[in-house]
Amino acid sequence: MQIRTEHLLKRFGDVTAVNDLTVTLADGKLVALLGPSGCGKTTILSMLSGILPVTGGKVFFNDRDVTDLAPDKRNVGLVFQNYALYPHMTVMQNICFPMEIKRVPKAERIKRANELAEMVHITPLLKRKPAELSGGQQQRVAIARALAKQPDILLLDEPLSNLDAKLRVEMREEIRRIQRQAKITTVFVTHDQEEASSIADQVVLLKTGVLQQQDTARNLYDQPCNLFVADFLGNPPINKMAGVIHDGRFVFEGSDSAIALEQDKMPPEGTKTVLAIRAESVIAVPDRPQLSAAVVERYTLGKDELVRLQVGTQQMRAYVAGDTPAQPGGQLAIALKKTGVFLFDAASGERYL
Amino acid sequence: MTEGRLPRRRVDTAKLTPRTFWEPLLFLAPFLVGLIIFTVYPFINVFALSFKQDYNLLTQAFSGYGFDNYKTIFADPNFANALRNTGIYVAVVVPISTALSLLAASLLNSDIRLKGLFQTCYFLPMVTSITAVGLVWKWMFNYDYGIINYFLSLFGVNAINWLNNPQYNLAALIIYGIWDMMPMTIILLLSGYQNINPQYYTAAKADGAKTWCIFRRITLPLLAPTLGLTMIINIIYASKVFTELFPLFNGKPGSAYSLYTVVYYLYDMFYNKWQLGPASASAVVLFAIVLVLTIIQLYIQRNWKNY
Repeated sequence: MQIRTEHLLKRFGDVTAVNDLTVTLADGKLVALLGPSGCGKTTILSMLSGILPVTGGKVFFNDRDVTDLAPDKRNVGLVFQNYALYPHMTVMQNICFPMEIKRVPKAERIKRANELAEMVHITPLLKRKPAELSGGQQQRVAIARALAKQPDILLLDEPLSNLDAKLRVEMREEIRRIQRQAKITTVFVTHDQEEASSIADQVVLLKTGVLQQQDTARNLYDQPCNLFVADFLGNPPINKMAGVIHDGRFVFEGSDSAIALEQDKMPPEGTKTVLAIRAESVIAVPDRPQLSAAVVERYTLGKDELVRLQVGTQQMRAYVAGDTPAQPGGQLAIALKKTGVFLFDAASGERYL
Repeated sequence: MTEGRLPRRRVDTAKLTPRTFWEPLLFLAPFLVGLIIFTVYPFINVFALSFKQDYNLLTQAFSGYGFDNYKTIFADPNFANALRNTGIYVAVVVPISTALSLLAASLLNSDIRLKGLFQTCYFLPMVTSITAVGLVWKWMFNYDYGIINYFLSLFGVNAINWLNNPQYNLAALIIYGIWDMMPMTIILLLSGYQNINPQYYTAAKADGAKTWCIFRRITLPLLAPTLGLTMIINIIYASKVFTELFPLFNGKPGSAYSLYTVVYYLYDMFYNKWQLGPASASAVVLFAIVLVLTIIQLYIQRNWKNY
């Protein structure tokens, strides 16, 4: 089922948690609501589920206006951050509970619970109580319970935040698998860009309740629309080099170094800008060097080496091949790739294309 | 790893030196002295006393140990009456009071208007002197002017002579007892409510569960351990019914001396009749009954702890 919000607004007192959000989330996709804490992503999820009333705007499921419907009338499955499994019920009873409320006959309940248990791989645990399960197992049960009433939409609130690092990678792949298998429109909330990028078909990136960009993770990474998006995605964080435009070139602040940029539209002379450079977009020892940088430090990260470079008063990180002769204290000639280098306005953060 | 051989870890037992034994004891002494003088010693003494035959309070002489005191009280119709009354009192007051408290606690736990006012009202019995409250109840039970009879008259019920007709004495005591027991029970149940994660309710509501369904399937099971605890406390408390009786009937056990309770019997034997042996024996009997009830309750409660 397609989810659409129109000018969605949520205020808590004087605080605007979600501001004029208009998005369309495609049917059958896995969508991530991504943003730093306090950006309103969980609030949006709660408004989609109906737990929180909206202050303004509308929510549509397909073409049905569900804005004023109670949660149980929207047919959404919810997975809570701490799972909220009923501690006094067995796994089986937990999965059956939503169906019991819907008055599904007992035989069918049990049949369906068994199917779901098989799908999320918890069949041997059906007789256990939640306290006897690990975090990952509880997560699986919570998903099975959310799917039990055959919802049109599955909503997950920070589904992986309560798990340890290793389990997190495993469970996010599981969420992807289960979502594909159940073919259900799924929205999950996360503050972890890697989590969102790795499994989501679409990422909705938010900042202080305002939509920044909605696209595939790939496009968000390769074509960020503003500095916040460029900065939020990627590890190590993108290098943000301050500078001004002079003679159609970017002059690094605190340095004489300048480079020519291939821009369709160059900002006017003297504009304060930020040149954002991904660490992997730096070419060490190129045929045609654009820039000379001092090597500050060198870190070995398995396949690659990460070097910290100094250009004037500013520092940046760059990935270089293991055999690059760059030692701390030395100089390194570099050039920039065409991809992964973006020019933003320093004041507004808007990108110059 | 070699099979079946775990390294045996040495348990470090703290050595008992003057520093680790006497010094802590010194700090505990004020409490322990009080406990021994006012609880442990009397407790043991009552046991001993209940088996001493022909005990003389003044000379402290007695003819030997035996079961005479127990024979005396079990032959005494007043004691049989006391057991019966106390039994009925416990059996009626505890379930009704607990049920009403559960209702009150769930209302206090929900978002209702004037919550603070209700809270104060419910906890009023706890902070007022029981004798003063007893006198107020005595007035409320008044045959001619009492508010209870007035209330009943609204429904066309004839006035009941609560306090002077022996037939209704126990009913009056029970009504007062139910009210008296509620505040403590409400506090305990509210603390149980606080331990229930509100997320369970959100989850159940999102699945479309109605209020009664949520209460029966989620609140009640999660509250069961607290409920079990309050029942034990209430049974013990109700078994000792005495202070409630005193102001209602001017210090007498009911209007026709028909409303003995076990503790009143004990008090009567000791204070009015100077029969220390039978008084002690009745105390031991009460202790045994409460002990058995508590053990049964604990056994049931173990199956109530469900997660």
